[in-house]
Amino acid sequence: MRKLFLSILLLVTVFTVNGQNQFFTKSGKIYFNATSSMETIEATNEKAVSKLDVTTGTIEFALLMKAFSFEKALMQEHFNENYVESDQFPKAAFKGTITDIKTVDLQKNGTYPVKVKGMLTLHGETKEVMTDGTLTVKDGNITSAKSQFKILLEDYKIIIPSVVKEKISKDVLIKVDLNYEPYKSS
Amino acid sequence: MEPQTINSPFEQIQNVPLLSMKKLMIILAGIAILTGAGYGYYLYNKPHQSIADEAPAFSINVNKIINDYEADEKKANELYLGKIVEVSGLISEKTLDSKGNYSIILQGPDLAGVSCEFEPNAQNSLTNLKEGQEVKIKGICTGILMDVVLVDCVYVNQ
Repeated sequence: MRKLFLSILLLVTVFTVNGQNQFFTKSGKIYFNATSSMETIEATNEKAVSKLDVTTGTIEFALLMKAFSFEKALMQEHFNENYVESDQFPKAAFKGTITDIKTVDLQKNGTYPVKVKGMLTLHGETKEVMTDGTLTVKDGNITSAKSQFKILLEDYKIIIPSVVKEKISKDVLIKVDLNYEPYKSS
Repeated sequence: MEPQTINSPFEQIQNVPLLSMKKLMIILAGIAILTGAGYGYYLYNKPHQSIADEAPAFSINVNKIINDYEADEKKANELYLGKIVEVSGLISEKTLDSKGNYSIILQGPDLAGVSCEFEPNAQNSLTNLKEGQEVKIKGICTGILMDVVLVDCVYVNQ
């Protein structure tokens, strides 16, 4: 009886102390850069959706390929039509885990370095990605997650015609900048 | 005495070829190459075209597009993806990002809505819009995540 009471008490305290443990955004920024020595190729997507759960360390984001905005209209057209084939593969997604989430103390403001491991799906291909990033804690909440990593185009079967091979970098730098808000489950 | 022939200056030009055929070809080829390169350069630097003056492929209510996407995403993408869609509905959220750009979300039938990212020139037309107001927005449909996302949007005056 006493044990049961204690465990209920413990459960209650865990839930009340923990408070917010899920964070969410609909306006995450994903930037990529495939600049070669011959040409600047970069684009930004500001409508990524992401969810982070600090109890498990699960982090996910998804984005729509056609929402990438390039400076040059023609480049954007070629990107969607010839390279990532957005009509066939309209989304990209990442599902992973922050493996050292336990090192992040929600009671202490600051920017924490973390390690992330997960699967990135792009152009219909899924590959493992491992990278470092940071989580920013402010007043008991995670306010942002940032990371950058490189992917190889050939891993995702994105074919660059030989005529323009020199113009596009084989590895692409991806920067992730997610501005979180507490997730209100409804 | 032979009559003196007076050559007109025109005849002189005709008689003395200023350009040999070969030179002419080279010049023509040069012009063709320059025009081609110029057109290529224009295409390469082609600015993003505003959809403000373009007719939408669909003019629908926010509930219609959300319902279509929730019923069958693949089919809805075949219909709407990459197309200019004009959507009418109530503003449920108007937000200002760090660069001072407004985004608007139109209220859908459930949790999902239509999220609109505007082209830079459209920003001024948004300042007076308020949450709860009924609006019509035209944009390019990029698919659905939580919301249906429209980009390069313009506000359509009622």
